[in-house]
This record gives sequence, C-alpha cells and structure tokens, in this order.
Amino acid sequence: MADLSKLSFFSGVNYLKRDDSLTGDGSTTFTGVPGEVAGITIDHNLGYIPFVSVGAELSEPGILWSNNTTPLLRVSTDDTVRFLYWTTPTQLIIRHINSIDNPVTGIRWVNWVIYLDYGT
Amino acid sequence: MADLTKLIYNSNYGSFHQRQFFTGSVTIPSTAITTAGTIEIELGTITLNEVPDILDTQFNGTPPDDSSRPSDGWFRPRMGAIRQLGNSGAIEQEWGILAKVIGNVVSIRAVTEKTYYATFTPDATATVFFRLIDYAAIS
Repeated sequence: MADLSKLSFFSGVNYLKRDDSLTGDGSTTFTGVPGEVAGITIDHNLGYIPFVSVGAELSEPGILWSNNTTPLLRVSTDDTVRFLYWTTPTQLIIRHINSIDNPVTGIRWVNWVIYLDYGT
Repeated sequence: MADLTKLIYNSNYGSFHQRQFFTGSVTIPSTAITTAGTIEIELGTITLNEVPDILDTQFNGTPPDDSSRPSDGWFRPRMGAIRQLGNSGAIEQEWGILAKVIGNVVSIRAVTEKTYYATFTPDATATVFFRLIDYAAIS
C-alpha cells in the first residue's frame, strides 16, 4: 500500500515555501555609541509564526553571520556587535546591537528570508 | 490562466514538509541558586518520531525589563531571554533558552550566569512556551 506521506502532493501536511516578496535586506547605521541599538522591522502579516532565516554583518563589514552566532546573555558582556530577532504573527523584528567594549561606526547589513508555511 | 508555479506539485526541486508540530510549555523551577558561574538546566525533552532534517524551535515568555521584545514575539535559541524575579522582587534573573538536539530527542534548556548575588531565590517558577516544527526533506 502506498505511503501517502511520502508523496509531494500529500496535502495533509504543511510545506515550507519561499516567497520572494518576503525576502530582503536592509542596513543599520552605528554611530559608535557603546550598546546602541538599531533595528529593522519587516511586516509580513502572515497571521502565524513563520520559519525565518536571518543573517547580519557584525563587527566586520562584509562578513555575514547567520542566526545563532551571537553571545547568549546580556549586552554588557559583549565585545562584538551582535544581532537578535523575534517573530510575531505580523512582523519580523531584527535588532542590531553595538558592542560595549569595542563599538563600531558605519553601516551594517542584514538579510532575511521568511518562508511561507504553505497550507495554513 | 493558472499560475503553475504556485502549485505544491511544481516539484523541479526538493522541498520540506512538516512531519511533526509541537506546542506546549516547560517551567524554570523555583529552586534557589547558590552556585557561582554559568548554570544550565534541562527543562524538558521531546522525542520526535525521526531525526529531523530541519527543526524549527521558537520560544516565548516574559521578557526581561530591558528587552524590547514584544509579548507576542517568539525567539530562536540564544536569541532571547526569559525573566524570573527573585529575592522578593529584588533581582531579575535572565534565562537564555536553548534547544539541543541529539538524534531524535530535543532537550529544552535554560542557561544563566549568576555572578552578582550570593544566592538567587526565585519568587516563583517561570514559564517557557515552545513551538517545535520538524521539517522533513523530500525530493
């Protein structure tokens, strides 16, 4: 008997699907203030918590760090730029946080991809 | 005319589908902390049917006072903290939340660093809400 869960067209489960309109990049600008917070907010208005992938330049421009690379706890422990992000049913909120010990100046880029949970 | 690229069965490339979806909560205990340094405790485990190809883990709970995370904001491991008040409201302890995956077992963990007080005595437990989605690759 066929295992329907193995079929691509099995519609009883949801799929990740990329939507180019929910993919983008943006920049934040640091002025050199220790611990300063810059932010980008993306409205997705999907109505659910989506699967997302976020990358950001940290202390060094041109090097994009992906998702889970930043220090765990408080900003005050940081010696590098870090980024955090949160998802709500309507928005992806990205926070870029300057280093306390070694603050930087200039533009840092952020990239994101929000995937559709196709079938909801 | 139908836009065939919108069909699920436009399968020139592989894709991922949901295999399992979990929501629930675990609890940071109210046990007093007297050990200095980093503390990591397991809050609960979830056993998946299979080893995941992609596991999306997101958490929600009361943010620390200095966090701008909205109350309905969900965060990935290491991307947010949960607040636990202690010592009769005098201390706000921040717990980072992690998910470790070993084989098909997901371990939800809380980690914190106690450095400023000799003893942290929580006023109450703290709730960590989770949502896990196990995505399987299909080709």
